[in-house]
Amino acid sequence: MNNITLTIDGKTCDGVQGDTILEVARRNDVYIPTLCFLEGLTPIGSCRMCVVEVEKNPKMLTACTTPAQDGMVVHTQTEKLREFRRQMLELIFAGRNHFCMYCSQSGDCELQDLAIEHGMDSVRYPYLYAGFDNDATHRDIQMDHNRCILCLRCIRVCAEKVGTHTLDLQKRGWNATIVSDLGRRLGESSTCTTCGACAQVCPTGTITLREFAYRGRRKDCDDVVESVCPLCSIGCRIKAYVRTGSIARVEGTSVTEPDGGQLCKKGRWTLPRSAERERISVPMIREGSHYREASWEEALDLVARNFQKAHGADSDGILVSSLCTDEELSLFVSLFKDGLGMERLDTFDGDVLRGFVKGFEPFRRQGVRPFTAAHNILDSDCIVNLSADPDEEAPVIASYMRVGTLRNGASLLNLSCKTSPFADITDVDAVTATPAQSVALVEGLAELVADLKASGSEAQEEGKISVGELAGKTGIPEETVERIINKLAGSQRPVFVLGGCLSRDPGAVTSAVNLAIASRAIFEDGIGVVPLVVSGNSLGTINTVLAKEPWIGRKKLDFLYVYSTGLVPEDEESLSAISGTKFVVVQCPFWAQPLVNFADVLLPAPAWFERSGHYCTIEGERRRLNVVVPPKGEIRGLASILKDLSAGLGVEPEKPKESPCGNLFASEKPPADARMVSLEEVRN
Amino acid sequence: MTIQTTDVEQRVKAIIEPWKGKKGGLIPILQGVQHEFGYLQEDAMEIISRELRIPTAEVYGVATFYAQFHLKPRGRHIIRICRGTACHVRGSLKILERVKEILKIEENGTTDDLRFTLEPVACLGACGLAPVVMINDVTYGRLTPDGIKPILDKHE
Repeated sequence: MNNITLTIDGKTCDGVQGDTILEVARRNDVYIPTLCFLEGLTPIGSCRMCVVEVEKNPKMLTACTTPAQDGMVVHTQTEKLREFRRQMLELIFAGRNHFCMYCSQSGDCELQDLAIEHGMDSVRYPYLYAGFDNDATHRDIQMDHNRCILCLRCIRVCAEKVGTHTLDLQKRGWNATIVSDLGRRLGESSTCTTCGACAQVCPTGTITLREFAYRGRRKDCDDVVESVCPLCSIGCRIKAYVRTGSIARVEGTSVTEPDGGQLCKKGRWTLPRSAERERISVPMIREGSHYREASWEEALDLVARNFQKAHGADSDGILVSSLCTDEELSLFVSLFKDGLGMERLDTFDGDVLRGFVKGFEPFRRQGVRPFTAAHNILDSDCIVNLSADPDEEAPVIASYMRVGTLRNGASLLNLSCKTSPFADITDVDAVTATPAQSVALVEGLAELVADLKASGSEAQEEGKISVGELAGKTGIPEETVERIINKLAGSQRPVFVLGGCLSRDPGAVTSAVNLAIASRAIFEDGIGVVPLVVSGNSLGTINTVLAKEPWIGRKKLDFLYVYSTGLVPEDEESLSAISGTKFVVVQCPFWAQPLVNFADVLLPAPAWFERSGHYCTIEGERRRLNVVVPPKGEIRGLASILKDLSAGLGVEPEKPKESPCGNLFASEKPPADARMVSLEEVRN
Repeated sequence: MTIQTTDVEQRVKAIIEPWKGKKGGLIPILQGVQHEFGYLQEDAMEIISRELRIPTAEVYGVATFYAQFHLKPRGRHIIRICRGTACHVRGSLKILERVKEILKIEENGTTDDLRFTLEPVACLGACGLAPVVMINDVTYGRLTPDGIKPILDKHE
């Protein structure tokens, strides 16, 4: 990389060969106005706001698309440029209906800000625009084409980050508008995932989210807090806007990260909507068919008495949400596992995670990290979907897979039972009739690919499966099996996305990692496998509350302490176990049905926006959650509640040991040293 | 006139085939499909999108950008009436009005029997013959409103 030096507005600015003028200017704190430019998206230079003058060049150049060159002398604020920019703004204003006083985004609009900044107090041009529709067909997203400036940010974010490419530009000139799919209205689109990324990047009032309109302009908000979305295992960074003590909107953060600051439909809607849900605000005790309010002392006393009784009879259990932070999980462990010596701790959907843990175990024993950061999907040249439904399990992973395939040119293989989530863009689709067949397929492929990659010349060992046998066993045509093998053998960095349902059979997880090793899916931080573990901090529960063996529903218990965040529905198996327990304590921020119906004591808990802590994410990072809105009233943090409870129980909690994420992100040995394991090790 | 769906799929795929795995095929394919069917049907565009892995929105964007592409069925005969300056001063508006009256269609419209499509154009480049009308590839010059009907009658 060659360093270059530019002079921008008389200031000496350092840059690197390949930077644009705008990048160099921003890095050196020189302001250049922009409108269509958005960091993280391909610059297109269409709005002409970032024009600059470069000495010895007669033209005005767009800073966002012009590569910086060593020795350039750039001027950004000459009178000529200011006049030109004002003229461009006038043309944009004359191009559509930009009458601010009728717009919900007035005061929260980049176009308006620029007009004010450039002193644009009148428009010299006639308003010749055609009337367009206000597309209100979508339930959540409104698109008023009359306010569009055709900056194409929405199209670019939809294509480059979300990967669905629902939006594009139709027609041309005066008649050009944003369109979805084959000339559909947004509400009729079959590809839109309702992620709302288009509205987040829209600089004007064209694309707005109904829920956030009139809830407060971004800059009028009292506070903007960065935190982490708890809803799936990726842990997208979010930005929550707070106004008069409530959450006005939630957006994705940094556009320069691989996820491009997008949120999926879960994060965009569930989080702000949850702030409106009915809260459990005081402790409550069941009396017959209803609950009565109680003091913390009374409620915790009742909990402690029942707990002690059950603990004596070894009939107690703790069930904790995997949306808990590392700190909360440590508190549970230090009191119940280390302090009381309890064995029965677990998390909701613990079986899914246990399957992954068991399947990964042989590789962990080798000192190799058997999975990789999710965004590595974008670096892969062959993406393999193994029984995952990313659009449901972790939609941003689905974005990575689409972008990887459509934009980065990766191949997409689907080896699943019955489903093909990306049917339109899949290169090779191997859909089996039963889950067992799809596991057998992965197993067989691991052997075949390993053979092929090891050395082409070596004769096939005896006892190894042949393509024909594998095809017969799995019901996949021989030709398809051949194609998969060739794709995997021919790719440099394949990556495997494992669906949660796969982990019912730990052997399937092991086979998947075997296949990854066989096809040399090696990334810096581990083997190229992305497991779709259930929720925000599922990884954090592995070293803490996750039980070695399942106990939920195995035995009728006398006492169960349930901690839920109320954000995701509980699994059926846990619910039926809870309903069969004699005395149930439910601690939950919301009146989450049906969970609260089973409680004998209800305890309030801080909601996601009232807690801080850390998550271990499958993006391979420990991410920090911050308090967005401080808790009000009787809501107390988990630490103080458990402190009182431990006093009631007469137990001293053990000091938390190392961080729950301690060994999750490191690979002791280079991932390239990983070797395949025999399935007998796992399945006994 | 209805076109069988399976038939469309085969014919469109045959047009796409030479372009598979290559760049720059979208416009030639759209031209080919339009040549084959007379216009760009939705299912044809969906097949193109799937086969070339170009999102439907992008295919639609390209198809609507160029004036040469048509998303609605067109008539067997295309009437292009010149509305350039020379033709205008020599009475092309009256010819246009007469054609609209005879065929009972609007500008850029197509007759229900798919016989004619009427397209006013800016200039046909034959100002010396003004007013000019083109039907398919044949140019008719120095026309009068009364002279247009016999010409239309010649086209079935």
